[in-house]
Amino acid sequence: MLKDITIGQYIPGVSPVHKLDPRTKIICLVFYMVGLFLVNNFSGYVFVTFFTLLIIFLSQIPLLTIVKGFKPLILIILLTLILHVFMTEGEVIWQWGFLKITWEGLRQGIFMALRLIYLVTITSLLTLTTTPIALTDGLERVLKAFHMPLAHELAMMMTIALRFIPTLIEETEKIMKAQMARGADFESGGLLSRAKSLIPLLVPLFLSSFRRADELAMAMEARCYRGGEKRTRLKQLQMMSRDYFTFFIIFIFMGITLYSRWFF
Amino acid sequence: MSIILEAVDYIYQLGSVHETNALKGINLVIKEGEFVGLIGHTGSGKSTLVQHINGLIKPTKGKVIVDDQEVSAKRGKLKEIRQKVGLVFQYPEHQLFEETVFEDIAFGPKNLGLAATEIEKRVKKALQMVHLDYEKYRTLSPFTLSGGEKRRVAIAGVLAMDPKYLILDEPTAGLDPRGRDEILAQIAELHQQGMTVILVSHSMDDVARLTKRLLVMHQGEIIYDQETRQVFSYYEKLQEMGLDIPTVTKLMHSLKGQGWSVRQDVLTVEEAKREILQAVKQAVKEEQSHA
Repeated sequence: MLKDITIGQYIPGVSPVHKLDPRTKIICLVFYMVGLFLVNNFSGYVFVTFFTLLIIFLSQIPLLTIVKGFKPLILIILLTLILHVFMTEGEVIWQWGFLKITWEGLRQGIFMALRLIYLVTITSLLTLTTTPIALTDGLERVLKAFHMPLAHELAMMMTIALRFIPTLIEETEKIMKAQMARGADFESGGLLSRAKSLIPLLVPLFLSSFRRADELAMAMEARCYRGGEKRTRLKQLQMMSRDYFTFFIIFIFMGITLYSRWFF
Repeated sequence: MSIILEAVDYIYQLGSVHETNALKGINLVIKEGEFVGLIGHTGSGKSTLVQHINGLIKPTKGKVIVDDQEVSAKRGKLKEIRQKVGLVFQYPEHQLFEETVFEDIAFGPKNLGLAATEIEKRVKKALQMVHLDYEKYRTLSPFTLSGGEKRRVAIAGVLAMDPKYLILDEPTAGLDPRGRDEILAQIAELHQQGMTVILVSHSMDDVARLTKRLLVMHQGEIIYDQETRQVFSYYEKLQEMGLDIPTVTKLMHSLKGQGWSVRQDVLTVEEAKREILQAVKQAVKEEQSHA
């Protein structure tokens, strides 16, 4: 059940998206997000949808893998949709007591839900096609280019966090089973009793996370890890013509989204 | 009364790219009062198998029956079955969470909805079973204990459910030799008191010393289900599966290889000692008769 979370996973491959420089991918991701939030009408969304599908197709990641990644976010997406549908003022199309649906709300709700879905899609696509090492490397270089202090440390923290998501999930399942073997019940009962039933799960989980962090820090120190200063790389990142081409494409994407916002 | 598995298949992540057939056609009957060992390489399906017995995992195909109750049924009485089948996971001390030893061991009985006096009785008995002093330990925080003590408290947490069948998944992993011997001795004692025990282990020495019957798993199948002594006579086959035989048994094999006339189905140090002494005596006798 918890294994369905795809955020932070990497699926090896040789697709054009896999081959891109991680810096390109990170920067283009930011541009994509800006473009996504610029779009505010139907034709704009159609364009973004096609663009997103194209990237997925190019990455050769099965659509199903990405769709499965939405599962843990369904609640948030639904909440966004429902809040917008019922809370926006405008032309009423359906009413029941104090509940009313408006055209504007429906539109806004669907747009916001789509935004969230595309955001998750494209972010998980980044981690699905980039090894954690390449990802940190890229992130560090991007942050350094903006003169961010502690760029290396930040990037390192992020990779470690990503790296440990699957481990934590596994650990959670294990502890859950162990407590279920002692008669614990995580599924039934009211909200309060359910929250309370999480204590036997959360306490051991926190403890094991601290233990793991300790061990990892020790292992890193034992191999003389000392942060970012004057660190050299085994594999130097190299921008290729395909990276410049990708930048070109993303600028066109930005252009079209801008155009769709003000001229349609 | 017994544990019965009928043609059990289990497939992990059915329908995805990661689909793996973890169990294939498992047929197994474990009777009350038995002491069964379960060995196999990492990933052979041992843990998956034992989790079927108390309903933590439901089979993709087949039936699991504990004391005439079908665990695998859609609406199985899981609470009752989990009380009956105590499962001690690997590194069980990682599941400790309460502020005191007493509270932690009481977690299981509380979930069963027992009365306070009964819970206290259960905790007392469970601590006694793992040879920890009730008065001394009950108010301590489980996190201040030593590794071996923590593990014993965690095992007591399962014993407090008063299970009829006890399954232990590598109960000695990561313990020092003394801690290991103590835990094993306590498990043997529990069996003598009438508990049915299934011991999952990587240590051939432990299995050889304790169990009468031994299951060998390989790639999701039970390859051998025989008397322990018999199973360890398949030295080469076991090695092919990446498994080993007990150290003393190996010693006897190599002695035999050097021309000593010793039995090879020896499982314990005591037996080995007797066998070697006899062989030496015989050799001396032969030499004297030559001279």
